[in-house]
Amino acid sequence: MDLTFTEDQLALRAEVATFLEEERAAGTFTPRVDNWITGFDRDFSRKLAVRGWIGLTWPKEYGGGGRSYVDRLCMSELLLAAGAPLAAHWFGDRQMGPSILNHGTEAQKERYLPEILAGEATYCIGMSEPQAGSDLAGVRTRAVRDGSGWRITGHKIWTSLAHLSDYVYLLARTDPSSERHDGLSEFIVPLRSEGVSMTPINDMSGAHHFNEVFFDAVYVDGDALIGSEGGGWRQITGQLGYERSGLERVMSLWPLFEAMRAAAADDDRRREELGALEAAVRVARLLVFRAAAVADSGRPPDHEAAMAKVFSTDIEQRMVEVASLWAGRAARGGEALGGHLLPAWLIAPSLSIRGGTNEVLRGIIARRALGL
Amino acid sequence: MDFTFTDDERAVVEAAAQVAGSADLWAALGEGGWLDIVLEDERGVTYLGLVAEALGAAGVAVPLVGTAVVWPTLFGGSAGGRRVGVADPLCDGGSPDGDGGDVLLCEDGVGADIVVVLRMGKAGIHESFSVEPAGGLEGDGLARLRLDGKPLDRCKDADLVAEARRRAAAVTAAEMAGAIDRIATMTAEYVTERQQFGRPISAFQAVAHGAARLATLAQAATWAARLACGSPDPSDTAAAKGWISAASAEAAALAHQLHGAIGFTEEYGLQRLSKRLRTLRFAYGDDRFHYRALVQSS
Repeated sequence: MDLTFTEDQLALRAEVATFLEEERAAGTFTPRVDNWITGFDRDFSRKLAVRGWIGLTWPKEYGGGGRSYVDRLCMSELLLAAGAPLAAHWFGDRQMGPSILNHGTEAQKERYLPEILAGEATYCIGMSEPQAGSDLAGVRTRAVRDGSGWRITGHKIWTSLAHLSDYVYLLARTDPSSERHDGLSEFIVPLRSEGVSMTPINDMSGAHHFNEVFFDAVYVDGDALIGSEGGGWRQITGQLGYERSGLERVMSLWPLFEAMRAAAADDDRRREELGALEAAVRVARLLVFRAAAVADSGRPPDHEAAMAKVFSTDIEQRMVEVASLWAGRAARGGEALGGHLLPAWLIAPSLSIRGGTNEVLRGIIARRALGL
Repeated sequence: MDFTFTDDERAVVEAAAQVAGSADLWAALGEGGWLDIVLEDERGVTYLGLVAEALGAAGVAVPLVGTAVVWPTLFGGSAGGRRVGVADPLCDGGSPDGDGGDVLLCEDGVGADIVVVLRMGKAGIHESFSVEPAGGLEGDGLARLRLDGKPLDRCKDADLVAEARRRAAAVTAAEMAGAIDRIATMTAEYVTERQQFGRPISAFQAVAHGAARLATLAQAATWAARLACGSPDPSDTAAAKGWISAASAEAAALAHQLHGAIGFTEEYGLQRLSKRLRTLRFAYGDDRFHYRALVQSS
């Protein structure tokens, strides 16, 4: 047991820190809260790709960095803390690439992985449907065989960044007689396919990153099916562990925290509140790192990921609350705390919903960690 | 970063569980070499943290921190099995440079053979002193300490004094983590066994989610304390002792709530753990103390 960073990890962090300093000095991005999911900047993602920071955990034989999930956190922590725009590569790097690596054929790996690694292919996640939110097994989107390919018909919702992405990674029912967790399969669907249409859904901040995506008998070739036909549920529960156990669940508001640090100055009460938040964040980080260590041991984290996410998003929401009381009436304006408070408040409700609600996650902890 | 136990660490955990269950705890700690482990092994604080977890889980109170952490850290030698009390007026916001005649609050002062007083940048040993109990809960060794005369000996190395303070808080945090982990386990077992309305109460979502919260607090406390014990960075200790102190109150309250009336009784084991957590929360710096220290250091 050694919970401190290794020399290698410190070296990686130093490299990332230098890169970020240069980018900030060059003004290539503006730090924003929640920028990992809302900041869509292909150029920035390509810069990370050049440095080998996309696919850091993927095997070297497929062009990845061959490093651990813990190493990936060592890197991503700094990118997140800087409020850098990461959305253009985030989902492919975090979820889709690993899923293709785990479940895809060699041909699929050759076809899909290089463009993710290069920062060229962007993915969104097509899981939720109007009647299948927390209860994801209620998915109704269907895929039926058509020659050597498939035809997909259905309706996805809350699809972040679908309007900017190249592909949607989609969960669909391939066995029409199946129910619940059986008969589901995963597909990669190019969003430029004929029969795909979408409408924007603005979130409560007025921003458009959600979409409703419709599939009207969309044809995909046989290669679009990832993994086993009917085995999608098992595949997806593994991916959700990765989705839930990143540092984006605890660092997404870091620009706000930095502004709070500056605003605390010599005020004793504020310094104490700031210390309480920082202590909690540090503890949350450890839960996240531990979930990554579980992933490194060869098993997707499940209850470990759930613990990390519930714990982390609680703290982020508390951070917004503390910051709001510091700001007082200024909390109503767009300038408070470096301009980060209002955007943070506007996304705060989503923190404990997206990627699995806290209620669902507490259920996972109760079942999987405690056997209740 | 490596979250798995080495063979040595696994051996420590097994040995510590035995020690924590022995009738003469103090003798067992001495015979096992745990009171001097900090001197004998460069990973001694990590090992001692694992021992403290076991003691915390057992809900037993011994003057471990003064004897096995503060003394050897300051003086580079063994306390020779003497029970060491520790007064650190800085923790209470008191004047750290007060004279020997002050009345100071002393951890494990009740029954102490010798006491160490931590000051700003220095520390003194006192053999001649009087104590009166200041803690209201069983097992709490807190005492009001009156020093008689000048220190017998001093440590004037400010770095060692700071390191003694850091390690004391880290090992205390580990003891608390052990207790929190135990009450989380007890609670998960209890809600599975206890039947009401014709089913185990864990079938009720509010109860299951409470148990899930407790399990999360336990995991968080465990890793935070282990990082603190193994890291030289004082901010890791400030974060751990600060957060665990606050979490201990939430964990104990939640465990009591989920246990209902039985947890509130003297015969049931929960009260011993919640009392121990209450005691340790305010030892070697409480939540607020460490939150301030954390902000100071970053």
